[in-house]
Amino acid sequence: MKTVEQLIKRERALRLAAVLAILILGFAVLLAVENMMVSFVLSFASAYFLAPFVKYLKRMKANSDIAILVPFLTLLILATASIVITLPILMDQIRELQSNLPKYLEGVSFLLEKWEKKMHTNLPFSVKLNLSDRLGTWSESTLSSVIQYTPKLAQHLVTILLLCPLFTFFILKDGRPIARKVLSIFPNNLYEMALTLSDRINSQMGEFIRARLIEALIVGIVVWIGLSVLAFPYAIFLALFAVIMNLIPYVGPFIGAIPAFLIAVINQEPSFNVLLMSLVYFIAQVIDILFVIPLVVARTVNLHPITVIVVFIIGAHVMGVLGMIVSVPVASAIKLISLTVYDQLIKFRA
Amino acid sequence: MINLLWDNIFKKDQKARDISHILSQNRLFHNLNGKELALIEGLIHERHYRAGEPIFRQGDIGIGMYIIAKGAVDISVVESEDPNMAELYKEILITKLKKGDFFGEISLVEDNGKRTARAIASEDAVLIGFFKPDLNIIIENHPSIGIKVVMNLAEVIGRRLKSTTDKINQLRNELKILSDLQRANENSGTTYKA
Repeated sequence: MKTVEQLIKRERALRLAAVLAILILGFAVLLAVENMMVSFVLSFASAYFLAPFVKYLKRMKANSDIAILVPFLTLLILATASIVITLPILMDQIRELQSNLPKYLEGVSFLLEKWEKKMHTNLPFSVKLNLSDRLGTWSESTLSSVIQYTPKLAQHLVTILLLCPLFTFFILKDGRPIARKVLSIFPNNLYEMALTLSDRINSQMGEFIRARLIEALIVGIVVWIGLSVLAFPYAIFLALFAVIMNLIPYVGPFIGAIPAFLIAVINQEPSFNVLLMSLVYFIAQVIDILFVIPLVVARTVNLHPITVIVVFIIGAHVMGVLGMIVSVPVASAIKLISLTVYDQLIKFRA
Repeated sequence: MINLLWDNIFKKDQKARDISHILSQNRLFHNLNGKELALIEGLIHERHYRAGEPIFRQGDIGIGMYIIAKGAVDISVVESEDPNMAELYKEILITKLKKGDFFGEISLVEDNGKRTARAIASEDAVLIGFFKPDLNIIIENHPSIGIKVVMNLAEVIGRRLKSTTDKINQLRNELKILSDLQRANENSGTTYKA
């Protein structure tokens, strides 16, 4: 006959095993099913972005479904409208860039050759890197893989665009009840800790994601308006690139500005235009540093510059360009979660 | 089979009604209307404990309160829970709580406050947990309900504070009487010796 203590211990172990099994299974499904992980991450980001609006409407005594539907449909309409409006312009710019690409590649290759020659004259013992030849081979292989990958990418994109709104709506509607169901499986001795932990991770992730999105969007809008006013080519394309790159801390803003500078140099833009263009990127960063960062506390979870570089390289190595973009925000999120878990464990043990 | 199905449906319904009734009788939610209570019901956590199972230990970080829906709970204070100081271990039973009673409400307002006593289910128990994250959701999403709950909570804590102050005063008076008696005894002893 089992004692009560043994029964309690057995029940606790079983409950903990069940929770771990659910988490592992969920994660395995996300990894195994194509497009699931990206759709899920984007849906979570959208849900976190919409959460304050839902909260506001609920506070205004709106019905729970309406409080979710209004911001959700607004975002859906806005996103669709911006895609419909900007896509033709973006496609035109991409087509233009495509036709001009050989010219730009030639220009960059010429610049690299010139710099390398200069370096070799000044430092005769330096190693010959043949950067321009390397760029040629790299651009050829990249272009062919881009052409090969485009139909598949389009297919992925359509799936993600269909799944994302669906997931976002259900995360907003049923996210909390589902999380509560999973939490209810936790054993009694860990229940309060698990509840606090999930609450803290939820609120901090929300702040972090909202901060990053708002920051990147503001930078993108400033760059777009600035470059459009200057009639700089590919304004929307460059703004989009700046938005994506701005998700990477420290190095992101600089990487985001590189294509604009290369285009300016190759097009042999007058120095005054280059100065104005630099000013646009500078103003975008100043607005970011002076107004956006003080408003969002999420910067506290920023990674050390060396960690950023290491994570960036690992991301690029494992997942290519997508890895470069995703790796740093993902690493920041992992750091945030680990810090919260550690903090809570210490507090609960104290 | 049909009976089992009907039994289950009615049992579930009965359980929900029980919880709703227990919440409506609780000091924290007694002045909420049906709609407001339904909202609270969607936030609370139902937890089951075996007889002898600890609910929380003294010194644990507390995040909320429990209402007893079924069974009974013993609240006790332990002199030392350090296993190296087993000789100091002494458990003092403070109170026995039964269905409808609640405990741990101070944790709802304390930041990382530690539990000052130990709670153990003295018989198989069903507890309704109401925690700080739930209170925050009510305050953020439904401020008018949040104000009512917080005011009720303040009243409960105020009452407990008043009763503790009364007890301290009573103890102080008893101590004073004891010390007066002791002094009188000492004086009479001195007089006698003299």
